[in-house]
Amino acid sequence: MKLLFAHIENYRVHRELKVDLDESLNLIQGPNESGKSTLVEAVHRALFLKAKGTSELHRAMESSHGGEPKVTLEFDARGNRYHLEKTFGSKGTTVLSASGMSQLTGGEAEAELSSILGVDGVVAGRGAASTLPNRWAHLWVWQGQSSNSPLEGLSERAGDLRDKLQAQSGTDLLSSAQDGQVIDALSGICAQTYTSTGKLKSGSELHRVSEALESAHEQYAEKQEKVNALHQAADDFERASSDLQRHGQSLENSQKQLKEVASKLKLVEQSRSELKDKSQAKQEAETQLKSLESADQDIRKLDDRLKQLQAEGEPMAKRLDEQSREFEEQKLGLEAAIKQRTESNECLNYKRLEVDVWRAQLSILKEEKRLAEFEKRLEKIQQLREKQRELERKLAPLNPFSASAIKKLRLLESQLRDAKAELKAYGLKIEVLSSDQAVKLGNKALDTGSVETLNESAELHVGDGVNIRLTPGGARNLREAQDALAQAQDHFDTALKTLAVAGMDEAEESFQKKENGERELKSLEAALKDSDPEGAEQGRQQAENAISTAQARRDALAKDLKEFAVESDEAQIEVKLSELEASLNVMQSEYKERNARELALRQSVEAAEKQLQVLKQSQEQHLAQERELGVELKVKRDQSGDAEQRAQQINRLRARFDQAAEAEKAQLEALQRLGPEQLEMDQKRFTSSLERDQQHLEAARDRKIAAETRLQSSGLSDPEAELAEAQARCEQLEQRYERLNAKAELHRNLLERMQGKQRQATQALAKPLEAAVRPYLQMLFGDGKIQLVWSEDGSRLEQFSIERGTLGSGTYGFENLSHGAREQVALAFRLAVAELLAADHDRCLPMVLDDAFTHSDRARIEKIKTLLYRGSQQGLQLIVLSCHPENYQSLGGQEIGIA
Amino acid sequence: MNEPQILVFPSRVDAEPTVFQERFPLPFMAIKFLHTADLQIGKPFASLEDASKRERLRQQRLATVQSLASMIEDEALDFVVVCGDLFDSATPDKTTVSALCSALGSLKVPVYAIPGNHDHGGPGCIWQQAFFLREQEQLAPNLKVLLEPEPLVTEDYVILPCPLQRRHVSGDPSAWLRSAPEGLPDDRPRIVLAHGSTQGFSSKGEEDSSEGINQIELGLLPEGAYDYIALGDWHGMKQVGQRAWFSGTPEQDRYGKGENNQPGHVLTVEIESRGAMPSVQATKTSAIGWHTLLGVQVDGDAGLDELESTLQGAMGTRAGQDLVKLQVEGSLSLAGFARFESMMESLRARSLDLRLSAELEAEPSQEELDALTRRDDPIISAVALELARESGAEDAEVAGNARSALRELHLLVAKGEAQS
Repeated sequence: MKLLFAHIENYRVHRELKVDLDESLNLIQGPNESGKSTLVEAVHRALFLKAKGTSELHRAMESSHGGEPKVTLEFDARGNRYHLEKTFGSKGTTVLSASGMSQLTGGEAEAELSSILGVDGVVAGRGAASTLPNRWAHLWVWQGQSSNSPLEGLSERAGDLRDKLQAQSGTDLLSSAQDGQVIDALSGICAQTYTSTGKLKSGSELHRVSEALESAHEQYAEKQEKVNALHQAADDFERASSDLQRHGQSLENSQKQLKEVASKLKLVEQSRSELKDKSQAKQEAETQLKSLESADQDIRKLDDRLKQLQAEGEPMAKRLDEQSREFEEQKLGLEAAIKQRTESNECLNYKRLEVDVWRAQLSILKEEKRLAEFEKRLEKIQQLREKQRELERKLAPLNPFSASAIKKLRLLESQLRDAKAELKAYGLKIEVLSSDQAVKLGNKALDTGSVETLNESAELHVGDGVNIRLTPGGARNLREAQDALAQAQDHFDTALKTLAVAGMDEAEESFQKKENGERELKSLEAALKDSDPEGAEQGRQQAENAISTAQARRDALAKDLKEFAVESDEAQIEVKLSELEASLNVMQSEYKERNARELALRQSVEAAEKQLQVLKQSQEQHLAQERELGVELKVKRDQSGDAEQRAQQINRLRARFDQAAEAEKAQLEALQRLGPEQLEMDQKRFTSSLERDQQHLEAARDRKIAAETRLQSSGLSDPEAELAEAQARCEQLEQRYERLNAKAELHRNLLERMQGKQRQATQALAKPLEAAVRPYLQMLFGDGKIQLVWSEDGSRLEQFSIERGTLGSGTYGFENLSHGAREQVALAFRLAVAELLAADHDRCLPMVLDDAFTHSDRARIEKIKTLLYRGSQQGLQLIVLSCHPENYQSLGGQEIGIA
Repeated sequence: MNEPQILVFPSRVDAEPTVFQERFPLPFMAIKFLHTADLQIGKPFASLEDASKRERLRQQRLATVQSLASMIEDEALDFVVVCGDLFDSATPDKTTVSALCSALGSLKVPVYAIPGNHDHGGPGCIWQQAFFLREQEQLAPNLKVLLEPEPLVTEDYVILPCPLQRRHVSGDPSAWLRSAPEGLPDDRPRIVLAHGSTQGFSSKGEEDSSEGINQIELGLLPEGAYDYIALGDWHGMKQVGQRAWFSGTPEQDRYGKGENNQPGHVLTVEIESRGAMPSVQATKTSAIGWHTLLGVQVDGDAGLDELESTLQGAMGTRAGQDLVKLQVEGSLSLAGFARFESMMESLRARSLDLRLSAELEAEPSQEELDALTRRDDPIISAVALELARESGAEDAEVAGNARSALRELHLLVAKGEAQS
């Protein structure tokens, strides 16, 4: 079917519009509000809306230009060219004609038209507003709907499309109603057991059974524990009973044994007591015997010892006597030596006194000599000091003539000289070498060869006519020099006046005098220092002190001398002293000798005395020992009798001891025969066994009572029966679970199988359409494919997703694409569907695209143009509406402008 | 006493009385008593899922004991011996204790009982619990539980009990009788009561027997020392020596094993005098039917018909009185399998317990398969075809799963069609 011509009158904005359409590609362009969309709406209404009517749709078509809305179309279909005229409104008319066909009007025309267009009757009456948009919705893309899912437009044609695809794919395995019923029934059954994610549904029978099974297992364990506890109690009871019996017997046995042991132990006790008595008797006899024997022994020993002591006593007394005599002799020798040494000592001391007196005398004489020397030195110093005072008095008036004063004076004098010289330099020398005329200086005539010096300006007259003023040095400088000279003179004079001298020479002379005086004074001072006045004074004092000390000493010592006369001659004294010292030496060596002898004798006496003491002490000890022994011996003899008596007594005691020992031995043997250790051990053993048995019995009794208590049945239930029931319940539930699970699995598998078949069928059905879309997608995206899912019964397409080769990985649902991508993909899909469906319409169908690419950029629109061109090449008639014709340059179609 | 005669007791279920031995003429001093064992009152029947059915079985055991009263009265029996396992558990609850005491009390005559392995006389045993002693005194003064191995001498007979005094007794409880106790009167019959297995015959394989624990060596008992040895433990009835019998349980409590197993009886024993051979007569007392049907072959509808009539033969139109152990094998069509399932549904409801072991191959018939695979429903037919292919797989599990799935699909389709 192809639209060839449209003529619109009184339709909304259009009073009249005629459009010739190209068979393949049309671009209807015009600015906004120019009525492009109105044009295609008018064409759509003419094709599908009943002309006669007063609905909202009809009223909306009316034009402000007046007149009834009229649409005239010409189109090719079924090999014919049809002419259709529709006037809309309450008196609407429809006329359909074609060559070779009688003209049809009204209902007939409408019915024929529907048949040609392959739709289910003309749209009319109530509900028209909702039905009309569905007519050829897959071919008509209204403004603003370009990015809607293309599946929406398929609602009326899905059946046709499915049949086409089924024919192409060779698939006829779509579900029947019965299939659906069985699948629904199975789904229902499965949904009772499983959730949508395949998990076990809580509340389902299988779930209930599984839970019941779990709780049955718990119950079983609980019951088992109860029964075990009872069995345990019974075992405990039996063990306790058997323990009671065993320990009871053991207790009885121990008691019996203990009794026997006790009676035997009594005998042992008796025997032990007897043994004790006998041992005591033996011990007594032994003690007595031993004591007597030891006393006898002692007496003999004492006797021997006494005899020995007595024998040792005699030589000892003799030695003591000898030693006493020797000591007395030595003592006399010592006394004589002491007397000699004392005499010698006295002589020596007297000689030393004499020496000391004479030495003191000599020292006095020497000190008196030193004193005289110091006094002479002091007198000389006195003379020097007087000389010094005289010189100082003379120098006093020359004081102003100091070195600096003279130096200043000399400077002033030299300054005065310089000033004079400078003034002299300013003078002008005039010498007349030769003259033929009279030369006069001022009033003074100068002859040839005369020389004159000018110090101030003067007039020089040569002859009468020549007058020359001469001014030496320039007037000013000369005056300054004169002033300086005057000042220097003045200063110099003042200085002379200050020093009270007449001139420079006098000043120089005074200065010299002062210098000389000072030099002399200095040499005086040095001489004075050299003669050390302080040292001389000190020396004199010392000498005086030494003299008085020596005199005192001499006088003190001289008192003890038998005779002494003062001698003032040093030499005499020296001689006397040397005589005295020689004699002193002799006396000293004699004294030394005597002293040594005395010392040796003293030591010898002391040694003899010591030895004598030792001997005396030793003899005293010896005698004391002898006395003690004698006393002891006497006491012992008094106690134990004499030797014979003692011997008899010893023999008696020995016999008594032997007898007692024999008796003790016999008693001990009797005791050993009773086995006392064994008996005592047995007693201990049986006692402890008895105690332990009693403890065990008590514990066993407690255990038995406890077990008995646990075994007391409440009688409210039967634990063993309950255990058997619990076990059986577990088994039943396990079986039930297995059965139910197997059945549920069976249903699930069957359902999956059936759904799988269904899926296979719908997938097969989608394939040809997916393939038809593919070339368009390749043009758009380089590569890519769509995936379509048919509803299980094939009544509608349910899902539409796309996989774009170069643009992002993964599969996206149509609704997840951008607006631009959506309108592009939708176009591809629409073209493919139209291509497929065109088979029933002479291989051609028109497709209207009203402002369908508003979301696409220029680059993409270029690709869209290719798609559109390919569509037209496949036999489709494309009508593109746009207010941007510049976007569609080189589309290769007819352009129709609407003003 | 009257003239000797053969007494015929109508059984509870069977019309035919069972007579094991003719009775001999009785002397004046003859004694006549009832020998039973293994009452196992309070048995939980835990393997039954339905609590009310379990209760039904428990109650029946008591009713059977109570029903002995009329027999005792009719036959003027002197006393009753119960050879162990009066209770199923060593720790029965109070309700069970009272019920047993009441039932035994209703028998009027003296009842001599020994503890068995289920209700042993060990520490904490029920026989010493205060509650039991009180209930015994009030409800069953005629009951005497013999806890010690010592002779009980009455004016007319001597009872020699071999009680189980522990949970586990490794020795022979009758060992104390290997030389006859001294001082027993020799003018009246001696009856031994024991619980355990015997030489060359034991209840091996019985789930709750005392097998291997308390073996009774009958051969070691002195010949002629005892007149009758009343045994308990094995639940079937059996003579195991000239004078030794197992009475078995009076009410069957499990599926039988083998033909010689004859549970559900009591024995009436008559002894003319000390040394005389006892005359023993069995009477069926069991009320509950325990049916074991093993190796039943079911192939196709014919097999199902046969199974139906077998079940009809065993249970008739009864409900709530039977337990069925059924083992079937064979191959059924999908429809046949559905029929089998509905049969089992009924059987399960009518019986107290159905222990079913079915090894059935649900092979769809060609029509069934065609109906599934050649239909206009593309999914169903495709899946059915796939499953049909898999059901022939070598892997048994795969094949089995495929068959089950095919069966399920068949059912779902049938249900869907029925609805539409």
